[in-house]
Order: sequence, then C-alpha cells, then structure tokens
Amino acid sequence: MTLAQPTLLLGFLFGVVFGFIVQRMSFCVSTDLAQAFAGNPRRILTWLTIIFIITGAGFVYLGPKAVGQLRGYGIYNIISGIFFGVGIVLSGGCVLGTLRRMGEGFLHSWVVFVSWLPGMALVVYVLNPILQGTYHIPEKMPLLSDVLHISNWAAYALVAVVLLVMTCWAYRKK
Amino acid sequence: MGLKEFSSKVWVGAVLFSIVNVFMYYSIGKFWIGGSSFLPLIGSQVQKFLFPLVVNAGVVVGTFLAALLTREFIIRKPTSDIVKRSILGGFLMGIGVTLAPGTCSTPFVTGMPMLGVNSFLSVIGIVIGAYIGYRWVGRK
Repeated sequence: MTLAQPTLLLGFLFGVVFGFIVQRMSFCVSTDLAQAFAGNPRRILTWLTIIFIITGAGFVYLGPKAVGQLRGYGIYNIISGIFFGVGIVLSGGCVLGTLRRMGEGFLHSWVVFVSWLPGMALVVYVLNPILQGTYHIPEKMPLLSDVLHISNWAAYALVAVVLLVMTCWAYRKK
Repeated sequence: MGLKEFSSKVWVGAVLFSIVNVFMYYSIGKFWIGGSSFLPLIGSQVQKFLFPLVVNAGVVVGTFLAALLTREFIIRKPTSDIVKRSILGGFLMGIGVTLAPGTCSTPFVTGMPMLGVNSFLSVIGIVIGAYIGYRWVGRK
C-alpha cells in the first residue's frame, strides 16, 4: 500500500470528519468514566448507547467482525484493559481524547502520544517473544452471538436493551 | 441555539460519529481503530496499520480545524507534575493497546457495535483499570 492510493486519501478525509466530530462533542472515555465514578454516568451512557444502537445496527446489517485479533481473546483483554484504564486516568485522555487534545493545543497530550511508543515497543520487541504460546488465536474470533448461540440481531437487541435500561436509570437517578 | 452550541451536544456528536463510522465500513470496508494504528511508528506491521495511522493523522487535523473554527484552539503548557503523569500514563496506555490489540477507545465505538467478545472483555478491563487509576489519582 502506498500513500498515493485513493483509499488512504479517503481514510485521511474520514479521519478529518471524525476529528471534527470528536472535537465538537469533547469526546473522552477517560473524563466520562471519571465523571461516572463520581456519581454521574449520564454522559458516557448517552453516547455509548447512541453509538451502539446506530453503529451496531449498521455493522450487524453489513456483517460484523471482531476488532483486534492479534492475540485472540480472553484474559489478555482484561489485563490490557486494566493497563489502559489506569493509563487513561493518569494521562487524562483515551486514544481519541488524546488525539483530540493534540489538535486543540494541549502540549501534554503530545507528551502522552510520544509516551505510547516505548510502551508499545516493550510489548512488541520484548514481551511478544516471551508471551508466544501463552495464548490461542481462533480461526474466527467469536462474536457475542456465537457465545450466546443466538442470531447477531438478537445479540445486538440484548445489548441495546441493557444499555437503554442503564441510561434510563442514570437519567432518573437524582 | 447556534450551530456551535448545537454541534457540541453529546448526542449530536454520537449520532454523527455513528453515521460516519457505518458509512466508512459500507463504502471502503474499514472502520475507525485506535491504539494499534500507531504500531507503524515503532516499525511494526507497517503495511497492515498504515491505513488506520493515516485516518488518525486526519483525526488530529480535523480536531485542529474544528478548534480553530470555533476559536477553541489555545496552546496550553503543562506543569511538570502533569508531564510526569502524562509520561507514566502514556507508557501504560502503550502497553495496554499492544498487549491485546483493540483495547483502547476502539471497543467503545467500534468493537462493541461489532459484537466482538474480545471488545466486551476489554471494556470490562478498562473500567476496572480506570477505577483503580481514579482512586489512585484521587488519593494524591
């Protein structure tokens, strides 16, 4: 793939549109999770539910596939999530939140961005050879529907209902 | 309500983000991803993740343009304490996104709507980790 390919140009333009949207809505998983821990989960549940309902409908219709298949699934997702979760609170932004703040002029977000690289290099060049054989990558990464033995639409509806109930609860809570 | 105020509503952003995400998948068969897209910067999987890297370069340009247009662009210098936290936090994020690719902002906006079991597990881990971080930062 070369940089001259139209797909890359399209990708860049999609990125600009995404950037415009996340800047306007002040997207940040880290800030919104902290707000939820402080007792106000409305904001995170609002966007999470809307994104799940609309994006999920589109993806299920077009044919869903699991994202992130390099190390299978299981305990690594939980451990990675914990590293990432602690990291986003300390640095004050998730990946999209950090990219947003970089564009908004926050110099510390550029520091965060550069600091990702040694962490990534540690895993790729030091830990990966050690971890080989400690995980299994299935031929097809399972979807929620595979695990629950229901259709994709039923799994989608189930998660959508759970998120809607949680969001309604958050708005009714004083 | 002006356009600037309307566009800053969280539900408006969520609806627009979703529409663009689905349209991208429909039109070119790709979707937004976060952490793994930066692997080419450390010389790993350059071909595979060149596209998402370019998308995220576009994200930074898009946020810059939006901030400029709405006069929200300001250069903000951090204190030394914030720099220290940023370095440690960024380093931990780097480990997290690479140990199990797809564990970043991605499961919230792309992975869960794709119904991937790994994304649901990642979200559980992120919430646990963020809570630990929240308590840790709160104590300082």
